[in-house]
Amino acid sequence: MLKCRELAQLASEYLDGSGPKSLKWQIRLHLALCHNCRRFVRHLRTTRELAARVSALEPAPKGQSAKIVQILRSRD
Amino acid sequence: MIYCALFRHRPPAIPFLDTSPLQGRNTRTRVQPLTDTDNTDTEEAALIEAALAGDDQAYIRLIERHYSVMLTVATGIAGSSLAEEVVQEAWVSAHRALSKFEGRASLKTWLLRIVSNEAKNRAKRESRQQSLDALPGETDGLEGMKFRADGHWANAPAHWHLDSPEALLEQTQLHRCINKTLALLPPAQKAAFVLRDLEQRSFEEICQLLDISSANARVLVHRARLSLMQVIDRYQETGQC
Ligand SMILES: [Zn+2]
Repeated sequence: MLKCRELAQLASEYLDGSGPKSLKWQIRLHLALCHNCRRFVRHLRTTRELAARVSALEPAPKGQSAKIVQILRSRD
Repeated sequence: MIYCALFRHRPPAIPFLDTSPLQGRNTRTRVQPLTDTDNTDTEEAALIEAALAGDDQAYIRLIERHYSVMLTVATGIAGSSLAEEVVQEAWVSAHRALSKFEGRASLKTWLLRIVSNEAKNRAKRESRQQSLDALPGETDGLEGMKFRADGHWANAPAHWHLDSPEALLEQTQLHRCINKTLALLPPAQKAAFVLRDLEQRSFEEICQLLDISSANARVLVHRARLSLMQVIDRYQETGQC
């Protein structure tokens, strides 16, 4: 049986739906029996979904895109 | 180590998209476009056409659309000191070929490949090592969590009183915390995470773009998610970052 620590390492792979099938079943079995790991995986899933919705990368510094366009035009 | 060429699994099909509880009120339309939709493609095609016809404002908008993710990839590969120049050079290469861009792939996919190549070449030229944090190293990212010697939880994952994604979506302070942490992630980790969870790229594409093994790409994404999860943990406990 997988240990909780191993499960915590494999949780992303599990959420991404990758990894070998046999491992997936081992993870499912562990989750069926382990309340803590169920909570951990639920939190990780929520984190992934929340981050995908609220993350914003810093925009280009002001004037940076205009500077690039200037360079491109000068090379035409 | 499994490198991209030997990638054995099919790229995951983003299974959570269909069942995401974050889909918003109308369950049939995505609240946020997760991939290039037809609409943005049309808009983008118009911008490309205008840019090529000499419209500088259109060109600026086109660059602005893709700047942040290109910079993230460039930084992940070549480091922050070279990244701005790398993006600039990538646009010079893209500019030459833009008229021949036929829209078979999305523009972003094409630009990501260009900036990745530019960054790899630049890193090589400067004989700079690929970002060291791309290597998995000794740690497994679980340092913040406590396990007993037998592998069981020593401290169970903390209860979240704000448990539903909807409730968390309303916490604007938390969003700031997430973005603060995202900005501070090690560059390769940030790049892998952004490509995977924000841009919905497959691991196969990610490891090709970042020139790392598929195993490394997965570790980097996992670590980034764990860091962000700890931000939410802290926020649940303290109401602060
Ligand atoms: Zn467990």
